[in-house]
Amino acid sequence: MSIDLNAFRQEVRAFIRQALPAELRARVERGYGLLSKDDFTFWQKKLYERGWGAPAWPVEYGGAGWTAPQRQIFEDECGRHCCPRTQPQGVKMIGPILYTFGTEAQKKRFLEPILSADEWWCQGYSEPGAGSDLASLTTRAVLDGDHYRINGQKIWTTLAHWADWMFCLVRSDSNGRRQDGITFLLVDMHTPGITVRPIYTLDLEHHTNEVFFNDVAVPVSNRIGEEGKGWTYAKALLVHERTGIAELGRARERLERLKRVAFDPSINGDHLRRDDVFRAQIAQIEIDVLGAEATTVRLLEGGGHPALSSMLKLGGSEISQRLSRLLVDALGPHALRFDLELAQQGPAADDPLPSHAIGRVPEYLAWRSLTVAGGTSEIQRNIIAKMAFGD
Amino acid sequence: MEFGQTDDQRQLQDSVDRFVRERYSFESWRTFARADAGFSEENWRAMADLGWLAVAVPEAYGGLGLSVRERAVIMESFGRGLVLEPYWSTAVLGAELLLACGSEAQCQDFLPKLAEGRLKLAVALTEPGARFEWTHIRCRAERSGDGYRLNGRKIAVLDAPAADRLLVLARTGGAWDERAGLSLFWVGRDTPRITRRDFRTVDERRCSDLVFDDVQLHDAQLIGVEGAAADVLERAIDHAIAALCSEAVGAMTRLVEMTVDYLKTRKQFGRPLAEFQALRHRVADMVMATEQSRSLATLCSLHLEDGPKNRSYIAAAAKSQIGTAGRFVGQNAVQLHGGIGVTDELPIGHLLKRLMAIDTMLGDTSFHLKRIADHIEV
Repeated sequence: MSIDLNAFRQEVRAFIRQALPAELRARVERGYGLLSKDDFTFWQKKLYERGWGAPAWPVEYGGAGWTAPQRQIFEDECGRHCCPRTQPQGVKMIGPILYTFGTEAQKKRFLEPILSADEWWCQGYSEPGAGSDLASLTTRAVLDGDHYRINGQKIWTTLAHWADWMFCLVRSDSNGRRQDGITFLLVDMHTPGITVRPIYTLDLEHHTNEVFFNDVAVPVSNRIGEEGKGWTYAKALLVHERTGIAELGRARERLERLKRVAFDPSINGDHLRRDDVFRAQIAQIEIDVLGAEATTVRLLEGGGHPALSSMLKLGGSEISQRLSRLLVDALGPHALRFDLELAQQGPAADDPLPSHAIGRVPEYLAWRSLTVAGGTSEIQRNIIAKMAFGD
Repeated sequence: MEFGQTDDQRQLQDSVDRFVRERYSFESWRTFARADAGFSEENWRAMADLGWLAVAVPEAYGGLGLSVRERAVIMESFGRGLVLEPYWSTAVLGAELLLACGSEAQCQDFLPKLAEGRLKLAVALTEPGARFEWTHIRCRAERSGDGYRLNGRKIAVLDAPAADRLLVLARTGGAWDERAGLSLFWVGRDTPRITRRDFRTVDERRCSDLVFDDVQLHDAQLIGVEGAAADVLERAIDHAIAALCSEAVGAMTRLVEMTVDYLKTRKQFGRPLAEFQALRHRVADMVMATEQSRSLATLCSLHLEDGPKNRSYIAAAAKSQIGTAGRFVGQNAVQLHGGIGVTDELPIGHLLKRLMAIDTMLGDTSFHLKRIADHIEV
């Protein structure tokens, strides 16, 4: 059966138009993640009700049964139309690990609340001493009867302050290869001994945290798979994580917004419309987005270059950063203002900038993390090179 | 499967790769390049026998009636192999122009011979002062008796020295920079009053500068509707761009492979260069540039039957990308080979030169970037 992709795109678009309130859309447009937990929960529930809570999951676990082009169209439309960005920790990260490596009991317990946003997750991977070199992690898990006792610290734990659960890599064995002593645990964030401390980023917002573990008890039944095999499960997840970060639908939206802002006479007069250098920069990003979209289809089709997901993560993150910088550039002197509060509340009636031009400076600063999170650009280059050299 | 290959296409690729392996060792390449013609007639006949010249020609004209994807497969393998035969001028740009605007009689005259390897074409578009703007044509074809008189100059016409017939874009009306008034003619190689100066190209092929001095043409030498060549020309150009992009992807792929092999073998400071991260990261960037180019080259082929606006937009994006990437991959391949990279000793220098040449065909990176930039709309 051949699927009419145009009709599908219209279907997605119609859903968004009907389900996304204008007020929420405006806040997404101004912010870049400056939404409340309720906002994200609201949107995830709308998707869940439609059967689209986790389209890429297998149908038996709640997936939508779409083809690769359909999945790409859905992401594309959500990005273009300023839908709240699905927070990846549940749907895109731990979900696939659970249905791939989890027990029946774990799947039954945890998958549905992810889909319905009744439970929130965070990722406990990085530590102060273990960033790119994740395998050097030292947060310790000691077996004590039918529980592990966890001591240590995680960092860059995005949304830990909202999370009900953490999926966590811990060291269960310090002998032998570093990777072989790592265990994958599901940790209830309400367990005594867990302390969450906020970290403020360049945009002065609270997205991420440090998490401290002081004799935290985790039942052995909350272990994924076998003790000491955590690294294998985590590696499987990292490839998933990479495919999500390209965010090309969002890039398309920013590209269209860039043109609107750049050519808006009230912001820029005629200056940027007649600026060949600026126009050439926009044209170059258009070419790069077009190429990345085509590469995404190749990745989803399968059978292409083995490092395509790393290339997309690297390329997509750099495209988003360049767009965020051009949007700042397009503001001219307006860009001196750090308009975080306006991004939260919306412009006043007499504000010189329209709603869609606000929040651009905080977004540029927040997006400096895109080339660091999910595997730095340098690590992605290491991965691509490893494929190229076959070593 | 949009971007993947069919089994038949994979078989075709294997077949062309084998042709290149068997006939195009680097030593053989040097022999062909040094010959007066700059290529091998024997290779040309073999291509004809294998049906490759006929790939995108409809069966009605003696062709195989396959798709642009097959042509892209052939071009990519030719790019890997530095193939010198004038395939592109004849079987891509020339054939597409005939198919787009030739009369039935002209198609019957040209295409079966072309498919059999008995007719080579070159297409004369570019003129001094016009850079890459293919509608800026000062060559004039004025009505004269029951034909035309052709006057003007063309520069850097690829494969003209070997061509049996030239396809020439000239103006039958309109101002020098107008789209309207452009017409396509064909001219036999031995037509009087054509002055031809032949050159080696940077990538060891052959091209000519041409001067037409009151060259007499018959009505039957007009191809298509007088004054209306612009649209069909752009369609043929986009087809030809798609083919060049595929060839460039082949050349870039080969450059990356050769660079990786070299870095694994060459040792300095007690270990293979492949262990130095700065060099590994440069290779990673070369791989990314190549894969981005592959994506856009295929996308370009996939959209050749779209409406002109979308077709030309994607062709411009693809051509701009492979120009940028070709320069990056070519220059860095030479760089990563160190001293030997700047000699004439290795194929990599010639792959760099081929990518340079491709950038000068049908508009360079900046030209196509500007085309996109000029049409940015909210």
